[in-house]
Amino acid sequence: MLAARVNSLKIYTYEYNGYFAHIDSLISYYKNSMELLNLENQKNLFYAKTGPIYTKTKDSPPTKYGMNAQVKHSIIASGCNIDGNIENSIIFRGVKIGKNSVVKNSILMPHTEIGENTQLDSIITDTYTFVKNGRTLLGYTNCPFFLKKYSIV
Amino acid sequence: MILTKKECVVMLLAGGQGSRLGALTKKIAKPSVPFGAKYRIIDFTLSNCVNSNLDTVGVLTQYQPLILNSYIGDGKPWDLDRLNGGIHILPPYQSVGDSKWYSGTANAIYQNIDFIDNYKPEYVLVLSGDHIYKMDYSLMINYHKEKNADCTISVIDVPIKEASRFGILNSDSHGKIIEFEEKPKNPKSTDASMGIYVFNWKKLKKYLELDNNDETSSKDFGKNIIPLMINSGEKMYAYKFEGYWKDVGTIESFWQANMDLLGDNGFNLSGDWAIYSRHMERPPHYAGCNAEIRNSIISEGAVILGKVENSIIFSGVKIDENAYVKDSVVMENVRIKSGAIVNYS
Repeated sequence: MLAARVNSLKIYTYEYNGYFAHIDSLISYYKNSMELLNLENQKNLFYAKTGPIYTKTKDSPPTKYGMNAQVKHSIIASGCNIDGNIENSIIFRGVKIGKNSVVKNSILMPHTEIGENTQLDSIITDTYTFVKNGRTLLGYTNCPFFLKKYSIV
Repeated sequence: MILTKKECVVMLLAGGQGSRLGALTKKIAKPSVPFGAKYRIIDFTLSNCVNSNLDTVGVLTQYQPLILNSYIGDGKPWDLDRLNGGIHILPPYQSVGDSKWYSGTANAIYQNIDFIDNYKPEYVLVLSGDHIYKMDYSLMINYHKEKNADCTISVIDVPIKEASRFGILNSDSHGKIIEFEEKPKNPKSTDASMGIYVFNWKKLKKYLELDNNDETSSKDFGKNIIPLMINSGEKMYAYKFEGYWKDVGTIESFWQANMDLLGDNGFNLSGDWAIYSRHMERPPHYAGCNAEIRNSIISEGAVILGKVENSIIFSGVKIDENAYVKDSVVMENVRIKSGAIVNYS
């Protein structure tokens, strides 16, 4: 519609310099989410001069880490209980991760529960997913594996 | 003013300075001191009230109330923004021929007799805003009714060694209180008063007025009202509370209560009995490539690039790479720079 009238209408461009990501597939969702692990991107999005990003928050308790917890290069929301090992991951609110479990390159949505002695790599879980003790789930960073809402694995 | 009658009105004493907390309470009242990564001390008492279905709360303020007032606001975080009842801040005020500060805990309630009378309650629950615990007050009120008591005082079993730091209640086998001793040298029991009282409002009103006419009285519940009622032969009962309870009156106990949140040390912030707080919108917290986090509680908006162990980290704290925080409580928006070692703070 606009393209056909480029010559007859005054159409201008407006340059935007802030953070911008377009999400239209599971892969782009995953890729762009993972980019938030970069502190610079976080600054441009979460702490931008234009103000904070608001959400409908729940008043959940702060996140608790146990004796066996290890966490590196990850973003973790509130209300979690973590006793496992997390690397390059995004953990939503109310997630539980049992001891000796390793979660890498993954996105765990609210209230996901991961048992003990599990291994997850490149997994996206939807809300209330439950992963039993001892499970190994592997996706690939180019092709993350998705677990739908309420699934029990 | 015509208000809906309420069975029980809560009066929360929040006016004390808490001078033993030193610098923590220089600018703010003890109940508004931050606690447990995202809470303030008063959140525990207020959440207990709503969770116990008590929706009419008067908060008595006096010392440095600015932050406390703005924190409580309309009471929405605790679901206390009610059309009938809800939360009310009650500072001292001026009246005809008279203007007085609250001269003691009992005097604070005395000066607000009209507030309580508005609701025509059967019972008044008196609480302090400076304890960390989860308690169902409705069970205590039920006990008070069962015993047909005039006053019920909640007690907790303390180690005999520490008993002389508390107000100790000596009661018979039915729970009827026979004696109250404030900080006794040789305690006869280990039932320490938690500073939580249920009164029949008519009785309490009578004794508040009696006490107010006594020039020598220090207008205090523990020192004056309770002994006066016991000596007058009123039906006073002790209600035994079992569970975690901590008076955070000193820096040491404040630190210890924070540490008790870690691991299975005794007090859990999550669970069915939710603790509510007024909280700011913050991004999730971030752990960097070289971060190490163990046995800790971390709030929203914190950025952890260094090492954290056995600690409570509040919102917006930044811990740089090569910084090490251990056995500590780090309050809002503090920055710990590279190379720093923070221990037992």
